[in-house]
Amino acid sequence: MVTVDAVREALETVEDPHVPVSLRRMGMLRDIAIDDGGVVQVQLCIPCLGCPGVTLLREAIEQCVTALPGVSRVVVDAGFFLPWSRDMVDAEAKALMRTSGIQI
Amino acid sequence: MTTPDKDALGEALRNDLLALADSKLVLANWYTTCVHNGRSLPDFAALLGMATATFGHTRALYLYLVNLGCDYDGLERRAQPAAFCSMNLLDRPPEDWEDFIATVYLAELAMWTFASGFLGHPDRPLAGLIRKIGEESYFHLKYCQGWQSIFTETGNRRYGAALAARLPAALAWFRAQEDDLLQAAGQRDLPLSTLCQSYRAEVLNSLGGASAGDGPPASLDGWDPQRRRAGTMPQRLFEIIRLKDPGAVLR
Amino acid sequence: MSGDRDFAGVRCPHCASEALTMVSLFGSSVSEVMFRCGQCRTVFNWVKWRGTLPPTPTVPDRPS
Ligand SMILES: [Zn+2]
Repeated sequence: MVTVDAVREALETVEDPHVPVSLRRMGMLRDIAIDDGGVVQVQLCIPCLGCPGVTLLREAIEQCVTALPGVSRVVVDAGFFLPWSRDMVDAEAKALMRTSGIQI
Repeated sequence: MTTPDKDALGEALRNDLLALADSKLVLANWYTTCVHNGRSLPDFAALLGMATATFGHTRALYLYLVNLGCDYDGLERRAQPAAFCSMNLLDRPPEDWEDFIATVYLAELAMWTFASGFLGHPDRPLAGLIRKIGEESYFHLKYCQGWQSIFTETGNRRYGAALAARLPAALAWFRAQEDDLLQAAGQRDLPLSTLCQSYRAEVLNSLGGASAGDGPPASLDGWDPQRRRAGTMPQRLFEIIRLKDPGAVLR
Repeated sequence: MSGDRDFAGVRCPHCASEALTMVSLFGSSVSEVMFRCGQCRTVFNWVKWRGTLPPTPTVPDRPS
């Protein structure tokens, strides 16, 4: 049986489409839920409703989580209704963004 | 007054959100279609950015409508202009740059004012989605205000005339059925009539002293309260907004 | 940056100068505003989303 921690750890390799920083460090990874049948629900928080990278992100997450043993299916919710602010970005990610010319 | 049943409320919410989503779909197409009319690089960036965001609002609202019993692919694949419920304000293409800015401003502010009635909606995901739409619309309106200042500074009278000519169609969009069911049921924070008055005041205020006033009220002929519009979307507009590539859904 | 409340406190990510010119309300992505720094002359993007909503009768004019 796959655990939430294992999913969270695997998702460290999935990065924001704009910045080479993991979704978690960008404050874009929210709830993870796993049911008895091995269906994994991953809830994101996409900052922009028109984000052109959502489809790519869905695919990357599905690929990454499906590869874990005990996972039967992955359901990704973009979480368009969840608030996102720059306070949710961790300090290291902010520093990296600044060196690449993005003030946050 | 009798208590409205759950079905009637669900339908009223579905209708209002679909009218908002479809109007945003048309507005997004206005932005993409007019990119080449931008006056400078920041205009191109803004029009493309606002198109992306506005398509995103449509997508997020369509996805939310799935919770209310709509079929997502069905919404995207509507093949008849009569199936769409976009606002009449956006039926007629812009005549010039001033008319473009005036119409986009009226549409953005109308959609935001209408949407803001759901900021306190008991379903928190809807309220949260509306808040995010507002954060993005803020910058679309700021872009319009930038152009408004330029028109004011240069004494451009065409802008005020275009705005006054389009305003009645924008106001008509807020028309409520006899009772505002959603407001009575606590699903809309304020009655549509109040939102409409506030909208009108804000638009006239944006013109400063140079108010041209309203034109005559928009005609009620063929008004469909469910779709929040009169008549059918023009065929030419439908050809622009329709889904041409079945693989290219917004999802 | 003076004169515009939306951009109060924005600084250049390279030299921290506040002598900035706003170039475009939409930068390299929808979520960014583009600025030019008057001191080091670089162009940079600033992430929006400070929670500001347009005025409506249901919300106070602006959160401060
Ligand atoms: Zn600098």
